[in-house]
Amino acid sequence: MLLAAASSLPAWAHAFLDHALPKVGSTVTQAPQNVHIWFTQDLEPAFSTIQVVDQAGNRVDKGDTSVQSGDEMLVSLKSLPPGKYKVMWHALSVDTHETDGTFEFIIASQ
Amino acid sequence: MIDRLTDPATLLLIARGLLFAGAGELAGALLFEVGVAPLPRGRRLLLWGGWVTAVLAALLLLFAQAARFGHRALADVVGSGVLSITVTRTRFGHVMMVELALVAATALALAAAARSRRRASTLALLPAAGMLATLAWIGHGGDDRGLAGVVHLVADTLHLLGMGAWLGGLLPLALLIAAAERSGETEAIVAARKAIWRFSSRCLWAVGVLAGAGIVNAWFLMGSLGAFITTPYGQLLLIKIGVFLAMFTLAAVNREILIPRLSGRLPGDALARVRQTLPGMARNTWLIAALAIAVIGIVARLGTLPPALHDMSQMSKMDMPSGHPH
Repeated sequence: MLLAAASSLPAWAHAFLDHALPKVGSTVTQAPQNVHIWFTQDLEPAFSTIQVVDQAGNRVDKGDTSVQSGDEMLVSLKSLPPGKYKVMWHALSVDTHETDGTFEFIIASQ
Repeated sequence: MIDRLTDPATLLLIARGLLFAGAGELAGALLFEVGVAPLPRGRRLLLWGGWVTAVLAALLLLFAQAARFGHRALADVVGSGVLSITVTRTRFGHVMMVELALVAATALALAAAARSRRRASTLALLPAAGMLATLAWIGHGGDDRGLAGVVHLVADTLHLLGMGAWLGGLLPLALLIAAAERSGETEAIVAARKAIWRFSSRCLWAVGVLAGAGIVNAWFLMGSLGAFITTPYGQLLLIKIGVFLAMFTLAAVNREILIPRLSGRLPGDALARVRQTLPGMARNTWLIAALAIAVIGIVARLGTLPPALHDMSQMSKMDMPSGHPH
């Protein structure tokens, strides 16, 4: 019975990106103030980070990555002009496994 | 070569293996003394050897994992503050503090009741079993959420305790049989036979729990039967299952063929037959113990690999942004 009940729940040993805001690969018309990423597992805030860079490779985040509710990581952004931005994240899950990844989003001119 | 040995990933592997071995041997030897027979000559070495191995391995694991977390050299973890952050702000650090507290409690229990061996072992058994069970939190057993998380964690804990109860008792049993063979005295042979009978019946439970919990763990981590062949995690797990089956076969030979030959009245007609049977029992027990070392090495490696469920080859349908395990 326990096995049957558990089978409906996902098992993750690593923290993978579940969804993000701005969405992965999306184009937005209003500059976001933060990048939020939700993961498939709880994170260790002390060793998990998000960095956001513009097309020239300059950091555009404020370097204040934090973790909320265990699985949501966010970083606040400077005032961003239209352009393409790259989000680079590094996650350490609570079971000591590391993952990292990147995605882009575009801020379109209004 | 030296660079390779001081690499945090290699040190993690060594530390995990030694911690499993030390804690398992200590808990198993204590359980043996509580439930099977007084530990043979070399008791101090059996217990304190396991304890010292566990302490050193736990400290090495803490330092190596902190180095890995902070992407620092081992020598730099204290000065950079990475060790202190690991201890105070990560689940791994908190678990390791619990582990070290249980290590200290085990030593205190052994020392406090040193005059009565059985009492000391009974007192020390709980924290020593706790040392072993706590390791479930630093493996893949501590990964999942909700009900799945509870089931996986319980299964991993039982797997570890089953391992300690069976494999940790092999060394005391082999030494006890060897001592009886050496002395040749009827009293020692009677004691060895009694210990074999008791250990054998307790092992049935331990091996059952070990195997059952292992199947549950595999169900959580493998994702599919094909992953046993297509992923490094699955291939290594398959080797582990093969070694386990070899150990199980040797234990079955002991139980089904050799142990029945130990029956009969002692001292009496059965003495010569029992004397003839003990060397075979001892040889098989040493062989199982040797294979157990291989299994512990594999377990240490498995804990550092991405489970098959998360292997990149299994994640081909996932978008790159979802991340890379390493």
